[in-house]
Amino acid sequence: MSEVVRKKPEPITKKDMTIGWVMWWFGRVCIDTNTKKGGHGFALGMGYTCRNLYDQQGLADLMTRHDEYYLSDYVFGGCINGIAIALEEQRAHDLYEKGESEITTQMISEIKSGLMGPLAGFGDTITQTVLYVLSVSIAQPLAAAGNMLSVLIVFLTHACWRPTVSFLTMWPGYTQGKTFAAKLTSNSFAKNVIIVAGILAMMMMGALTAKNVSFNPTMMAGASSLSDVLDAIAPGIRGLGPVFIVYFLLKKNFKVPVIIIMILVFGLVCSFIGLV
Amino acid sequence: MDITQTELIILAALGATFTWGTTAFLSLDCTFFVPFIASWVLGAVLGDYKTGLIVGATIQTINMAPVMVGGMTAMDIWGATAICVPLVIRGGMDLSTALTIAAPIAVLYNILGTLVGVVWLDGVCVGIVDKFCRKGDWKSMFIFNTFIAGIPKWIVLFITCYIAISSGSAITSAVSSFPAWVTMGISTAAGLLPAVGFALFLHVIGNIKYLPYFFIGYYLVWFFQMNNMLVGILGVVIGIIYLQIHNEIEQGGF
Repeated sequence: MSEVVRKKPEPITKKDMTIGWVMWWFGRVCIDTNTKKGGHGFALGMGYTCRNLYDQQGLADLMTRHDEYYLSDYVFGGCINGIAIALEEQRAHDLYEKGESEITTQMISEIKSGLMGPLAGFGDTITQTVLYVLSVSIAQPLAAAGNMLSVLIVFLTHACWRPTVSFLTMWPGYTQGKTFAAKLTSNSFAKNVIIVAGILAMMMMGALTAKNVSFNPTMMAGASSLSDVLDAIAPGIRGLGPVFIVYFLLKKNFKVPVIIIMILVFGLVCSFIGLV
Repeated sequence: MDITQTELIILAALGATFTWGTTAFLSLDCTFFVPFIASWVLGAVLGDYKTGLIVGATIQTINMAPVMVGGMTAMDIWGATAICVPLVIRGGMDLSTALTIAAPIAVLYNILGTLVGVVWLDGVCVGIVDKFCRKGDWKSMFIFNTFIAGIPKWIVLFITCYIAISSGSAITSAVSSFPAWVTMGISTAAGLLPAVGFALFLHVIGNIKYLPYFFIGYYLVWFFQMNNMLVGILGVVIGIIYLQIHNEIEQGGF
């Protein structure tokens, strides 16, 4: 396929990249379809940033080829935007000067989909396990006590962290290309942080389980209540039991609504037969 | 339940705004998707942000996993928050009843949201956006993506929130007329519902390899009634010890 590019590509400025990033960041949220996920927003951001590279038809082709399935971690995935912009810019210049480019459209698409997986694995671990779970597990008890600090913690880890990191990773992605993505995902410090945070998150969740989950059967079994009997024979089973029963139901592909209805019915039945 | 028309409209509008995929700018990038942040604002509208915060924190326990994992939601706890905050602050409902009401609402809202998504986003929007792409028309696409695509879901949520909040007094009086065993059953269920939240965390996001640490955390609080910050500090310390041993084994230090 030979493309004739008549228009001289104009250089991509920092302003173009910044505004394109903003359009992508907000555009991807509202139009999160099952067929293409974040692809629409990506095409929009690319379309704005690269609008001066081609003529109108070239721009339409560019947007159409970026309007494909795209699902990654958008926080560290910011570097994919940078890489895609750098590739498109190189391609446009090659096409204008030499009439052909070794960067084919298929190659751009392959690089994008090749980076999607590793960055989603890396980024989701940091953004969701580390930051979301830690911020919520620290902030939730504070919020339950009516402490305003919880609002600040969530604000910092969501409203500040996510867009800032996404925006900052775009630039090295643009200048260093694929090597930056490889450097990012193989960073040993980040790996260590992920391990420590995974353990910390587990402990915090265990602690919150003890605070929030409870089953208190007050029916008398002999001289003491059923709760005391359970505590004596299996300490902690009143909180851990429900969590792991639900966990195994989820493993068995029970749907969350079904489990919730089961719990409601269970509570009513227990109350009706006088167990609680 | 004593609530003015203005407050009702503000609450329903905020409830619709704080939901995934309705407004991009106002949600401050997922900040307001955390239930106790949304409930903090809703509580402030009703003049009691502190109670709002507490209600949200309670509702949070039915889903401790991040709301968007791999692009899917298990339940829509945002809509539930918008409905339960006025029930507690103005209706005088207690927290465990509010939590038990919030759980089925969250499930219903998620089904509603998914339906709107399938019909509107996948049915209509994909075609429109693809057309903009084929024309290279980034201006219209920007306006459509950012401002228009979220509107149908917003309207659906606004209407359902409005109806639910305005029927709040009916809900509270119905709850107060329940026989004693039903009330007791609801509070038993309220003690068990957070199990769903933590099980979802283990199932969706937690690394099951680290399950022993879950037990450590659990027993530290269950047996010693340890403060959360202290559990956090111990968690970091244990994590670093794990890392040191792990690295030594890898380097053949043992």
